[in-house]
Amino acid sequence: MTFTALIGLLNACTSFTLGLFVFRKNPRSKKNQSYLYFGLAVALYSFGYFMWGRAQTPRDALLAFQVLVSGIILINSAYLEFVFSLLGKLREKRKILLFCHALNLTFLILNAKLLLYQEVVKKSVWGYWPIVETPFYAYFGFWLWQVGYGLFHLWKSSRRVVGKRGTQIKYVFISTLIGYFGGGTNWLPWFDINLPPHLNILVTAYVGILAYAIVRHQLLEIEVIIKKTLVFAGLFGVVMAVVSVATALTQTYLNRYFTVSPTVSMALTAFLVILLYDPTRKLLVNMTDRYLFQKKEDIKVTLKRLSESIITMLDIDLVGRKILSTLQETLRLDSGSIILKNENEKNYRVLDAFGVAAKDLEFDKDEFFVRYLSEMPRMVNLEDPAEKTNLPIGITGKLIDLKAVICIPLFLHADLIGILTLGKKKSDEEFTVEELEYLPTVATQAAIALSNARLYDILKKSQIDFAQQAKMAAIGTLSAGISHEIKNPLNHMRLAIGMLRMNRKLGVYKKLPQDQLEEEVFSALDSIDANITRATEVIERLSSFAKKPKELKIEPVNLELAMEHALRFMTREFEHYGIKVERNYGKGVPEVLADLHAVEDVLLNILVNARHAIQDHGTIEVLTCRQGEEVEACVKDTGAGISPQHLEKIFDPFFTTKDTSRNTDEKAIKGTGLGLFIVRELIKKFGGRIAVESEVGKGTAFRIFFPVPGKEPLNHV
Amino acid sequence: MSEAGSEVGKIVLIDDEKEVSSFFSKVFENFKHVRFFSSSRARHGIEIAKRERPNVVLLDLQMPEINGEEALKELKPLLPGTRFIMMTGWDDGATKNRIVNEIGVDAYFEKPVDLEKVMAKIFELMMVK
Repeated sequence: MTFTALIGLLNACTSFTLGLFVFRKNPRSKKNQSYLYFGLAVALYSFGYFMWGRAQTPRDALLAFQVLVSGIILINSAYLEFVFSLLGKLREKRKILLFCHALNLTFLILNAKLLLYQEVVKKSVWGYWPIVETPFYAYFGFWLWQVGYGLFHLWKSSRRVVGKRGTQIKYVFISTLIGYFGGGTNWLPWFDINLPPHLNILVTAYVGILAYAIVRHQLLEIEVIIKKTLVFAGLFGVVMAVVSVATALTQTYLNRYFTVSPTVSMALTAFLVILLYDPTRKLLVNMTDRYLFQKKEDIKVTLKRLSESIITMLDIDLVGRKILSTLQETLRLDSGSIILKNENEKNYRVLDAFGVAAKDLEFDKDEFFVRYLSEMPRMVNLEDPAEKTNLPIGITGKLIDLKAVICIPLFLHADLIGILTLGKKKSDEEFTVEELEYLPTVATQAAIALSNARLYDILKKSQIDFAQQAKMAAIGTLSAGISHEIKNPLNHMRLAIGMLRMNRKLGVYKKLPQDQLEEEVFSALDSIDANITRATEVIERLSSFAKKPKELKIEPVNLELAMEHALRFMTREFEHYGIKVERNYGKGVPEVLADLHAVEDVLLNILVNARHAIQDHGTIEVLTCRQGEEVEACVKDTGAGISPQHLEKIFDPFFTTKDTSRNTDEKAIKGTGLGLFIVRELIKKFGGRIAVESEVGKGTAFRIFFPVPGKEPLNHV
Repeated sequence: MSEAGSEVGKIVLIDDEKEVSSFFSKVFENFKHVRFFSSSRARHGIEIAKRERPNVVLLDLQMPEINGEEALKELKPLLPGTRFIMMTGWDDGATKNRIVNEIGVDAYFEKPVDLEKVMAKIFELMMVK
């Protein structure tokens, strides 16, 4: 195979595959479609050259030329289509394009009918060449005009358009110029200038340059496809080399010593190819990644570093700063900021910023800027001219204030928890496609990390101490009952005093003998004394309940006793709301190892929930019993019940169906959503578990299981 | 001590705390023309009220079995000529609102009560027929 044929074949393969891949990436885009057309045309042309390179007879050569020239004609047609779709002028130049296509079609027919040239002669040592007829000159003129026309418009636009698109156009202009120059040298032999068509290699160069342009400057956004094509071409070359080398070796050397049958030599070749295929592929992929897709490596590194560090950080300020500084370093940014939703959920503040004076900025949640971003599930890129013109002025203005060109909303479960803004790069380069593609991933990770840190923040700030929290929650709902418990003894005391005063007013004591008077007075005083004791007991009970336990003290606990203690707190409340209590304590129920006060808290919490569930008139049944290797304490109520979808969440922290607002209406049942979470945590500390059954409209049953001391518990929650 | 005729005033107290009843009783001993009945069980107290048709009924709100609010609801329609006084240590605005505005009582005292004021009110209500 001659050099020309080889080049032709290479050109044909690369153009064809490239065109196909580009088209598949975005079949609907005019640009991609016209690129396919162009690729096919170049492939046809190259294939023609391949055929010509192998032609042995004039007839073969003529046929080759027919194919070749059809390719040339179509190339121009496709090239103009591609150029104008790139420049966005398809509509504008519609008429001219149609005219060109029509004319090209005519020449195609003329070519097929051998009207452009009739025969071929051996022109030089390189092969057959056609002898031109008159119509050929017409075509040649048209060809020149088309090339010039396309190049002229490319050149004009490249001067006018700035930025990313301008660079794109420049690349297309230069590479097309080179390609046509290389291909154009082929015309020389037609005019009897005997230059070998070796400059055809420039067509390959054109493909290469275009590939580079696409990769580095997002011409068609198909970097992976380009990589695949390059790798494929490289592999093809390597395979060809291996085959040739192996064949050459066997033929020249081995044959001297033994006769090697073709089968064996083929097997040997195949063996070498298979051996070298995968390593070669990996090497090519890595090389293209490293040298052509350097930025992609950078982004991968960024993401890896970011995810390793921020996901485990729990300080929200640190997380925010880390995100920002990592992006600043790896993307080499001039400015940037990270904005976070405040805990009050009403506004957003700038957590951290660099390169812009924004530290104390705040945004209200109803501000246009915030509302707009809340509805925007993707990032805003001011470097995209189309996007920039479509943005409302209020948004672009805000972004300019923040010196931002990229704005990424951070969402968690459809809630806008923050905003990330990135300024221009220090190098003034634009963000590449890979970077823009990876930013949303960074944003998602950031959102998760920030939300984790925020939750932890909330937990830390509310200083949750499990047992204490449970108590506070219980005490809150008991205040009416407690108050009553104390008011009764106070009432009696006042009545005693009132009685004495009243009787004195009525003059009763004037008539009474001394000892009877003493009797009255001191019995009243006794009553007062007893009531003071009673009131004190109530207060003591309450304060010992409210006191923060130092540590959980593990000791044998009688669940029945704990239940009775807990019930004692609730008696008044149950009375008030007409709730009856049924007790079913089992006999011989063993004691469990736990902290008595903690267990009382747990039971109290559940009783309070039961009370709330019932609201008005119902029954609460409490029972204790032994269930195999566990001891069960159960609280059943005839209340409203819990729906299945709530049932699986009731032990989650912060889950509540009660009013969590600051609504001051006394009737609203309040809750922090922490009660059952804490209850479960406490029970787990004692090796126990809690289960709940419920039916809406019927009632709920909470079952708490503790392991029987000395025995392993059956299963844990 | 009972005298026939409407000159005899009758008071019924329903409160589960026996001490309350004992104090009121001691005071009413000095008023010969007033008969004082009391019960620490709501049911029983209601029966007494129905039977005696008193001038004034004193009710405690917080009681086991039937609370004062319910007793009030039950007795009011049956004793149109009777005045009702509620005493309570229950600290709940909603309940007070219900009792005072919706069901209606002639007086509402929060514990600890001033005995003299309660007595004054009782006599005031007894005057009004």
